[in-house]
Amino acid sequence: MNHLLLRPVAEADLPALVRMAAASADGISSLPNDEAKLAARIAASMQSFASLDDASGEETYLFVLEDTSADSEGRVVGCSGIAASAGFFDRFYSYRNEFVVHASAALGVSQRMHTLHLCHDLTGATLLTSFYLEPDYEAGPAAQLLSRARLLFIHANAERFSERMAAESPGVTDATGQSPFWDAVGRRFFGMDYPEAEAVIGGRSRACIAELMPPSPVYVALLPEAAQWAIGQLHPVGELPFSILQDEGFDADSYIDIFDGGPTVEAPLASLRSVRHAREVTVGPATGRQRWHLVVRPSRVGFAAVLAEIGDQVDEATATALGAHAGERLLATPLNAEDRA
Amino acid sequence: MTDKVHISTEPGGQRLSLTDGTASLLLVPRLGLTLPRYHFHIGRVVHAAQELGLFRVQTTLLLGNDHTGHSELAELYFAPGLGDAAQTAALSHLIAAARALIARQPADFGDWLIAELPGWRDASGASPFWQALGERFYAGDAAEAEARLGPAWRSHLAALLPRQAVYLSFLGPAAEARLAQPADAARPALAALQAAGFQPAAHVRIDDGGPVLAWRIA
Repeated sequence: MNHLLLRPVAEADLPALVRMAAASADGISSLPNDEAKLAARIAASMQSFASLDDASGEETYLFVLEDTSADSEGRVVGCSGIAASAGFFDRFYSYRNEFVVHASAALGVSQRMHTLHLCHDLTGATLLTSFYLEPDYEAGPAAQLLSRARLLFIHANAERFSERMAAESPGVTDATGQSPFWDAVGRRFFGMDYPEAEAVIGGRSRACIAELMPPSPVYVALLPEAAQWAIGQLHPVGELPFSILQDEGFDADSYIDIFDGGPTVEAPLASLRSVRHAREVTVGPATGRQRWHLVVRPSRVGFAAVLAEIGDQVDEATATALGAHAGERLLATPLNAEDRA
Repeated sequence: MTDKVHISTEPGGQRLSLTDGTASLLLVPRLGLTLPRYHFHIGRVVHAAQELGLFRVQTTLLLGNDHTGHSELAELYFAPGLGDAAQTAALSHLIAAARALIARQPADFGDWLIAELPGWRDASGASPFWQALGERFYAGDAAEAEARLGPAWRSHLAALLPRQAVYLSFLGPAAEARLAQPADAARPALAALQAAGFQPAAHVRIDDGGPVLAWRIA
């Protein structure tokens, strides 16, 4: 077992969240850089984890990653979240990539024209959100635990989530925070620059804003080159969480964000690798080959996840670290691709 | 005035020529019934977000065959060297003669009489409208294709252009500013059409964004 523990956020984590929100780049993180809003996020998450009511779709869940090694004394080094239902209060807008063949025999032309269609396809999908990891931890397996344990939580509590998963990634911006995609598309309809629009969008439903965008498809050929190039391109800060989702089997080719053109990935939950290779384990003898796994205590109340080297069953120390009681069923999925049977 | 106009019948319609040879046009009774004719309709869409205090008026271009079955003043011709005022006067005579013809047999004509004018071009002959729109969908030589295909050129071009409404603001300020503006050489013709009561362009040519003016017959 290593020294990382993923658990639901608690009130005492507010200073850590404030620190992480300030450290993450402005305008490209889904963590608001605002103490009151972060406190509200914590309260909403605690309510979602604890609620006995049927899920309504408005629930949001926030997880924090703790370094439990002796030197770090439980320092929070990352966070990740889930929004149960995208666009819960309204609609969730994306641009869908579509290709139309325009042909004229007389002119000797037949070409695939790339168009962007404003759509609500991902409304109601469960969104993976709020990924942030301190740079010192990016090289190791921490990011895997932080991102993928969420999938096992969703899998184990499937009645509270959609069968369809989605995640937004920040699109490219230049050094001054300007987005070439926004400049070519959104700006024409909002008359404001991207940082300003992000500030306006921050506290509001995106749906009312999308009412300003054209309902007819955007012909990519009409956009300036820089904007065409930005379609589906990632901001560098999004590369790590994006690559994890790609390895899981998320599709990155169908949808983009309507504002900055960043890729919005989506996939059915059941198709994701962590879910497909998940198995139930309990405390037992160390038989079978020892391999690194994400091991989670899947219950909504008392959810926890760690990385541990286990065989057919899980060892006592790992179960204790997860706070599991004797005989409790846990979920495990292989950490590394080569260990997926 | 109309006694100065000579009228001859051609396969496409009736050729109206001033007897002094300075100007002529072809009165087409019903356009677009064999070869489809395409224009962009200039539309307007308001996007309002009360919550954000935003109210924005957007101009749209929608490809269509709106003038199918209408009548047309086509192939406007002026003798080389004819001055601007003389062009306007000559066309005014021809418009009056065309209306007199239509009035005699209204059933042969459509509900509207239209006239297309070539779009604005810069000193080098480049059309900002074409550069912002058509060129993105047809990379070939437009002048060569038009010379080769004749009147069918725009029908074939239409197959390559956006079928869905295009927001004018995507085309950039140069094309926006010149939408529905005639070529400088066509200003005298525009003056004659306006003086004859033709309405400001609600449609434009699909290649160079030239104005299509229309007058209500019935």
